[in-house]
Amino acid sequence: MAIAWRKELDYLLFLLVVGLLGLLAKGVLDVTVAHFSNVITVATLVFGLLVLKNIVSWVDISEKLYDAAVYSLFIVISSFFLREVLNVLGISIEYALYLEGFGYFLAFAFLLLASLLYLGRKFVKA
Amino acid sequence: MRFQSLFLEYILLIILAIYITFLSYSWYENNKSYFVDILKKDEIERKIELLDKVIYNLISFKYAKDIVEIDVSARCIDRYTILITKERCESTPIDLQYSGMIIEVNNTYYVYSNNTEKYYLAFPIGYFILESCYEGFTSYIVNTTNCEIFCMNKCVINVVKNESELLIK
Repeated sequence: MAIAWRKELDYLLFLLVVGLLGLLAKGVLDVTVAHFSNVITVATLVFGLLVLKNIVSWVDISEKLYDAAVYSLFIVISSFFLREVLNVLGISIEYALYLEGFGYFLAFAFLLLASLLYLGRKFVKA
Repeated sequence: MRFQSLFLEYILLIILAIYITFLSYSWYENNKSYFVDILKKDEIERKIELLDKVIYNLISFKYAKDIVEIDVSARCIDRYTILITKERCESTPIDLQYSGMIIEVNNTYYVYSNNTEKYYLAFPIGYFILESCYEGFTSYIVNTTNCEIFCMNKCVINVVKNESELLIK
């Protein structure tokens, strides 16, 4: 139930440093930082989900679904890097875009289901 | 304290759910043109949207290339690429006291024709493409920095991003 703010703050600082580096490196390391803002956006969402994970007392299936949503976002992050790999290999980046969409869809579906189950239980109990 | 914690979790849950919905929808809106082959085959307008999206995605790379096939004729006008469909249209060419292949006057675009030595009205339909009734045919002008293409009826368009150059060949 309690939030370990010290731990969360570390992650937040990590995000800030990575974001700042991405901003400063823009134009210098064009290829690797091209999708940096996307990575930061999703990483921030993961941060929010991790904070929520500590606050909410998730139970059984809803917790597993919630975890699956967080892991799905890592599919999204990996798709940003896959774009660079496909580009280097001379393959169309559209496959990375499909993977990104797949990740978003899974995360959206899992989070919605987990939230509905969790809220449903709360209201039934109340 | 307990009430505050409950309140916080509901707010966070709602914010995150809205955020993830927004991200998923944005992804769909930005990339729906990639489904063109599956959903609406042979629609030139859709393929042009796809080409615009492909260029948009390649532009952030230093070196990148991709291929799009469209049933149009293609040639170069100066550094720009023009894709000409078979669809006829009516337009009134205009004489303008300006120079340049593509000019913008009060948010309106005009494309110059070397054949008629007049300007044709054009409208942006994406980030890099203008649509115009050019020399009597519905055409699409791509804002490239270099052009090396010439093909008839069915074109395999190679989009190449090289440093600051955007080339179609």
